[in-house]
Amino acid sequence: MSDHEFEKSVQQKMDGLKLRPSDAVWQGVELNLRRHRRRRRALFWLPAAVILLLTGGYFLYSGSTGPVKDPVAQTQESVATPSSTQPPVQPATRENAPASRPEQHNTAGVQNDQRTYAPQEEAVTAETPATAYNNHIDNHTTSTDRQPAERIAQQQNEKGQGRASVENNDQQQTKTKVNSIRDKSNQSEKSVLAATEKVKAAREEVSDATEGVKTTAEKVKATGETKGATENFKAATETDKVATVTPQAAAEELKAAAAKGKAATAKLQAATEKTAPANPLTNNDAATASKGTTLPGPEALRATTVRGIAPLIVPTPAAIADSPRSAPPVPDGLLLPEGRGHIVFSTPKWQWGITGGAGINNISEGGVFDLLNGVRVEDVTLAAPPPSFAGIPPTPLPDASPIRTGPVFSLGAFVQRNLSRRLSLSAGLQYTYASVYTKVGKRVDSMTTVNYGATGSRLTNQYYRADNELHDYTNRYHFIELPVDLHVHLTPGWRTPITLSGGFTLSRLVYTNALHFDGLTRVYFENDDFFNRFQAGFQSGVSIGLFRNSKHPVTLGPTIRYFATRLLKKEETAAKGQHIWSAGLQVKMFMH
Amino acid sequence: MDYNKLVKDCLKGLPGAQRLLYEHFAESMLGVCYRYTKSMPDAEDVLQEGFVKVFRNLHQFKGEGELGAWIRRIMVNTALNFLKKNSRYQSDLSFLDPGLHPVSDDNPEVRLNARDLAELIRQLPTGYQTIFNLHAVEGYSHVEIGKMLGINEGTSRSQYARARALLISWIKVQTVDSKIETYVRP
Repeated sequence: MSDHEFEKSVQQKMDGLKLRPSDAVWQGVELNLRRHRRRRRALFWLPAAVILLLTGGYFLYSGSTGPVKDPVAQTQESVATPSSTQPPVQPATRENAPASRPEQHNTAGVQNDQRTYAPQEEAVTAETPATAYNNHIDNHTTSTDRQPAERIAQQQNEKGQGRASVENNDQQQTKTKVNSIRDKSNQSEKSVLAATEKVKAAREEVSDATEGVKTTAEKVKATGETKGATENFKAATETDKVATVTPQAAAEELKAAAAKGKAATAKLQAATEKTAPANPLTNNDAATASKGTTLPGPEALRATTVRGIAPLIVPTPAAIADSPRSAPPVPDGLLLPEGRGHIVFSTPKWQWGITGGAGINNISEGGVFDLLNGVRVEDVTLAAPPPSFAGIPPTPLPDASPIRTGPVFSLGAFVQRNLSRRLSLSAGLQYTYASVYTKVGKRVDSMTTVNYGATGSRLTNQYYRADNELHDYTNRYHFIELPVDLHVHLTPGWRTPITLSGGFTLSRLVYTNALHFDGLTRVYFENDDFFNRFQAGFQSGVSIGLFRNSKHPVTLGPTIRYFATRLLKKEETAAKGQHIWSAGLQVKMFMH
Repeated sequence: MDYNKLVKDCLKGLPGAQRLLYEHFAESMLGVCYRYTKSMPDAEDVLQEGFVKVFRNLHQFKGEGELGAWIRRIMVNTALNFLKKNSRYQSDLSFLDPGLHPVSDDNPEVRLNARDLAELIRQLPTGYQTIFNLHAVEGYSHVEIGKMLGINEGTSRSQYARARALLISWIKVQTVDSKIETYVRP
């Protein structure tokens, strides 16, 4: 024989090795897939629920702590010193009021309890599912999902036992039966109701136990629960004749599953005890290899083996590509996730990187649903509109200028902890520049008194007029922020994975040149004491991953952020409650 | 069989299609899992875990290669993970230092049937068994095996040579035994 003929021969033989797996394997696979589907659905709705809760919480909070309607009454002790340019303080007359895929099959028009009766369906569909699938293709039927139901119905008709209606009774039907029995026998009414409750509890336990049967170990674990559930069923059925056939059948199936589990456990134990297989070498001399090297038997080899656990390492993409049996690349998550000295595809637990974003920034009044409503520079006084005199309308005074959208950008770093394949948590430190535009008049560099709140006033040496030669002014806000986000990776296996993110941000307003409007003197002025320095906000976004297999993967996607904290201090000003929000694109680059 | 349609139907979540895919590959894949483990329950555990991964990641199969080969690679990787995680195998999944090893040009004719040959392979120590399977059956190079198992290329070569020599000696014994039986038998 030529070189490698032995290997070829072995390869051919092994390629032809086929062994029939037990039915429990497919049941385990199917159960696992169902669970996975349910988990994915839950993960998809979780961020939406969190956002809804946060939004609802905010509205509740803002509703309970709305602005005070009569701030004058609350600030009576405050004494103002009117200046010569200041008009007499008018009474505060202006109002400050702020502005689920079910997998059920309809059988004979009766709803199934999917969780409880899943094993029965599996038992039925397990007969010839592949044939059913082929029939589905041949007959060009519209839905394969219907076939198990049809088969169940057909089987039930063949049996002629009329079990379908009994098997598919839901709890209301059970209750109806209980009531009918109660009518017949008032004396047993209480016991019947109690029995019904037991049936419910037992059903729940059975369904839990059914879901618990996945792996062999889980099967063994489920045995106890199954026994308990079966006993409950027995107790319930003994007390109450209403107990349906279905739970009994389910219990029987679970018993069978438990028995399978026991058998599997016994096999496992036997395999564990079998630490050394029988040595096929009956003659040691025959085991002597060529060139004088003695070949030990399996036991001897074990005795001389160096006891070091070698880490399993993922092959590199290049290695995979060079493989003589060049198979398509294996998905990322499938390769040895926890090996020491790996890693090519799997994600490390800790990652860090840099982040940046850019977009638009604006200010809103009200809640998160008023983001697009236009607002004006906030009047920090309680100025009332000038009264009419003898029916003559007052001379119109300029209102505060509207606020227009400005740019925002941020830059920072983050650290991310990957909690699982689908979940990760990140925290960061970043600088954010936010701005909005407004229009103000001529700048005046002279001392004047400006007003704020109900009766407060102070001197300022610079202000902007509101009634002449309007030009653009940029309100700039500089923040240092600590964002914390939870990321849900919706499609972790994709080349461009989609991730949903949500979280909160704690920000410190480092500096701002934003203007306030004095409605009494009709001037704009700066005073950063009026701002809430600490801002708490929440943000949400969706992103896609790019260059996943490169050294520095990138995520990119739209985000929106809303500061729940009021921009201005409510206690010192008569502000209605403005909030900063922004929307834009955020980029994250992973450095490790 | 139209694998592309089957894969598409599986991705739609059609239970019949999933079952058909499973039934089509289960027997041959259990053969793969069987070679890497020491007992049938372990092999079935690997098979189950492997198929769960197959269905969860089927969207990544782009139809660029053979579906069977793709599934087989998943099974092999699942089996390696299983060996690494399972304490019963961990202590046995160790490797001798590279040193002198038997160099054999012996290429005996393998007359055993597939099942008997697989039984012999499974009786090798786990380290030998793994490397023999990866090199002789799956066709990985020693460099690849070294990377997969975190060992030197030389260690892989040495282990493979020992495994090969041992297996050949066992095959010879089996063959001689069967010949004697044939001779003795009237």
